Amino acid sequence: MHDTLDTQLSRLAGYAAGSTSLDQAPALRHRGTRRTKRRRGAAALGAGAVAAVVAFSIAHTGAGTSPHTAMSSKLPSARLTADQVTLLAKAHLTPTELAALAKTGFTAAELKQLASANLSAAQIAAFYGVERSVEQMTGGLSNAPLTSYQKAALAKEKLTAEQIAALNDLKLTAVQISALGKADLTPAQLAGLS
Amino acid sequence: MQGVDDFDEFYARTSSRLVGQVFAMTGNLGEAEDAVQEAYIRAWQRWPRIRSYDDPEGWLRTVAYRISMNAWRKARNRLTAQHRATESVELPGLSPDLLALVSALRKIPESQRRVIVLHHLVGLPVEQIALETGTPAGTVKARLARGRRALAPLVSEFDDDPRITPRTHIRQANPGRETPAHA
Repeated sequence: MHDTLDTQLSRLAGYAAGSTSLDQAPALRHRGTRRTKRRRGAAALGAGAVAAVVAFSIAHTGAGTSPHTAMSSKLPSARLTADQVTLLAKAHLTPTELAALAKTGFTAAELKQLASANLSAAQIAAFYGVERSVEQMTGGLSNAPLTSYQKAALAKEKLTAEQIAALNDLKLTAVQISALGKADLTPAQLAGLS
Repeated sequence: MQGVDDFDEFYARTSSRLVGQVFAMTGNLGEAEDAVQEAYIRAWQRWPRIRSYDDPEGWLRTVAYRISMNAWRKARNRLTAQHRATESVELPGLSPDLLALVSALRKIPESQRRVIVLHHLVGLPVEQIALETGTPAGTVKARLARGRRALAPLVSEFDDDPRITPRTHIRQANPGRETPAHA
């Protein structure tokens, strides 16, 4: 004797529901948030690049086409507020820095923070590769009197902004920083090393 | 972030059920899982708006179905019709009668499959199916009738239905053909 279609479909759906192995909600939220940030970041950088190039062009030649126009035209188009465009234009980022930022997927607000931190393109690229937070990039590293090699080494370790700030006074090599990162010392312990 | 808790609660409450529904519509469990997860990611991106809907689950079901159909259409371009017709159903632990149902569902047109699932599994009335699928109510009724007819050999409830002729059989269903409905 056959079941009714309702019953059979319910059993079929029950089988699927019982067999499924979906990701946890936080993992899906994280993916959604990252995707949104990436889109907004790309959009913000597109406008920022245009604004910076226009500002550069006006400042140096009065008007007309800048030599960097070709580079900036490759960046995605954007929808930024006038305030955001002004801020990015004032950041005096080089085309190389803008290109490095374009790969990061940060939001416009985060980009404003990064722009004021005076980070090099190499640093930005290194931070992005290890998914540093903006707080880590600007809070600790921008104030630290470290060489770019030391900063790049720091960026590869999972150090918090507090830990990075505690390393300010140390003259450590990249290898030493790498070893410290693996040791996962507290800010107090790191400060005690100096 | 705003809405994290109610999104997580909504996900925990509805995700498995949606996988079951999309699986019944597509006949492919892996594809249904991927589509449902992708739909939830998109929902999270616009959660403040989606959560205010009367039926957020319906929105997710529609998005997941469209995602799975797009994936299926892309796959269809890569596979031959012969391969699809003879592909085996790999669903471990599923009883023979449900395997037969999956196989039969795969052989009817996707539009019929969708309304069958929405009506007989989700429990939506014709008018609501019409809204969710964006088709006239008459078309929904016609698709339901054709889908039931195609599935009749597998279910008892249609045995005494005079509208379904004894000669009707799933093998005779023509997935590529669908005549306009008479509302």
